[in-house]
Amino acid sequence: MSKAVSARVPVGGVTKVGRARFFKMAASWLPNIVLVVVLAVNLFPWLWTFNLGFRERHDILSPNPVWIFRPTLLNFIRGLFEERVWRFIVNSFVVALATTVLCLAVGVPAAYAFARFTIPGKEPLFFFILTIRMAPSIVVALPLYIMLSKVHLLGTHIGLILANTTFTLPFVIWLMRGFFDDVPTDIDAAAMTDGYTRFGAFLHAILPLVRSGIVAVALFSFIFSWNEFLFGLILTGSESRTLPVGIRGLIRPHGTLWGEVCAVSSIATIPVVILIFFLQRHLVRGLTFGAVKG
Amino acid sequence: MNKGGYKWIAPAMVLLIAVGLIPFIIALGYSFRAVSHTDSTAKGQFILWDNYRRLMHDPDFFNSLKVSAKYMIPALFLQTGLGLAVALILAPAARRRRLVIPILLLPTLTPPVVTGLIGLLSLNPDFGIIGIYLHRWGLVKEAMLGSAKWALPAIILVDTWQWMPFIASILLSGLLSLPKEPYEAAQVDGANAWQIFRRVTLPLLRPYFTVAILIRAIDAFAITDIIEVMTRGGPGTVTEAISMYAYRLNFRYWHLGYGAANVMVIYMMIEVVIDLLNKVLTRRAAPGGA
Repeated sequence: MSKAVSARVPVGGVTKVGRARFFKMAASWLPNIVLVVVLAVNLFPWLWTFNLGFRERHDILSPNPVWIFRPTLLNFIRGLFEERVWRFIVNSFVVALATTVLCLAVGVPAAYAFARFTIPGKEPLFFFILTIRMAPSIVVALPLYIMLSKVHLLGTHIGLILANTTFTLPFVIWLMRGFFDDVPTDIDAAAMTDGYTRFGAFLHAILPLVRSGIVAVALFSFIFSWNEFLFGLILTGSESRTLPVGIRGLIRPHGTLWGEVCAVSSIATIPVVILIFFLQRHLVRGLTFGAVKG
Repeated sequence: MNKGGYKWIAPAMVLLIAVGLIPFIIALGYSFRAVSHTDSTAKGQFILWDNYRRLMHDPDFFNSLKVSAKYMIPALFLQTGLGLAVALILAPAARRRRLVIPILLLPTLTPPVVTGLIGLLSLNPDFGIIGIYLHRWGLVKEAMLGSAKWALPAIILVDTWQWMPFIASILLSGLLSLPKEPYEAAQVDGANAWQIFRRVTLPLLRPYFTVAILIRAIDAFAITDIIEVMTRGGPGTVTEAISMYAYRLNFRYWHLGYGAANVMVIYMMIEVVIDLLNKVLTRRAAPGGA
């Protein structure tokens, strides 16, 4: 029908039909335009800061924003090597990876048990787990500081990994329980009639079905530990300092190294950006402890 | 067949007790003793409720409560209001595009230290991309973060930039999964767009609001990172929210006994809200629930 209408519209002429078509097209494009504008405004300060990492110092400190510039990698090189930020990156990576592996290893079986077994006192235990996750960092950090100083683990990677466990392990248990709940119990039963033990059924029949959930939980755990700041600030020493604490160390009362700060900040953010795109449809589910299945 | 679960949860529970419960009990013990690395008269002697009594007469503690309230209330309103607006605006275009929520959430999942730095740099009146214009157009005369009047609004602004997408993405997920029938029924009844929004959309979104606001409130109560980076609680104690004061007591003044009492009080205050969140989350997770 629209073809027939357009055939009658003279080229370049503005007729009632032509205008209606324009408005119709605009209306169908409007949501997309609004979408791009909202996302762009939201991301602007973020993108601007990261682009400053590629600029000379006088450009960054200019009172008039400069749009055209010659990019340089000097800030990255100075930040990573002169300020030795590469060590903080290694620390952050080791701590985040170890936290993730540890929490998955003990958290996934626990989540399965919470989903499948009748455990006396299950719901109070589940609440205890949530409390540890949601308590303010300082409420967890001070007691841990006192305990770690007694057992001489202050300033070690192990101390920080244990600290990060307080929010990643409860997260793993809560979220994985939801993923196991989504799998019908018939599948466990069928696997066990086939001769698998309970553990065998868990390993060979159930885990493959929740693979995407495990990946999501692992990525989230890594991001949480990678981003973590307060524990790092309180529990690390100069050798075990993590990236967020190291970046903050570049803010100095007399002359912050803004170029290096922007460069290193974008390095700190890149892994998160990559992981977010792998998380996709599990993002909202993860951020709400499974309450909203996005 | 459904027995023997203890073996499965034992490693996780042992770990959580070791890193969560035991340290907490040790700190609880500290809160009844005089412990400080900077005060030589505090030798760990048992002083019963003195730390707690002292806290009840501590103007800095009450200031920190007030700062937290002055930050949390506007921040939560702004983030919920803007979040709803953004969710409604994006919903038509987001339906077929899986990438909208990840892109929207980039500021939320950026390391908070980096978020604080973006705020610190962008709001600088001499060379920050936002600060320059606030200054030039005469909206803000002084350096925002050094001013008693503007430091807290600046923190709220950066916090909103970070967390509005969190609420927006939850509401957006909600909008995209709403059932069609109530809308068809409303149209049959001849309801206009506003009536449909008011009487159908908002009530259906209610559980999403509840989850988003509860989680956000608990996190906002614990805010330290962007404040530590942007103002360190200053100027003076203008932006010293409750966790920042606890940090100062324990890790700048090293009054670990008195600081532990402060931390215990903070914990008891937020525990009520965590309990509420637990009820909401477990009700929704229950079979047959929403």
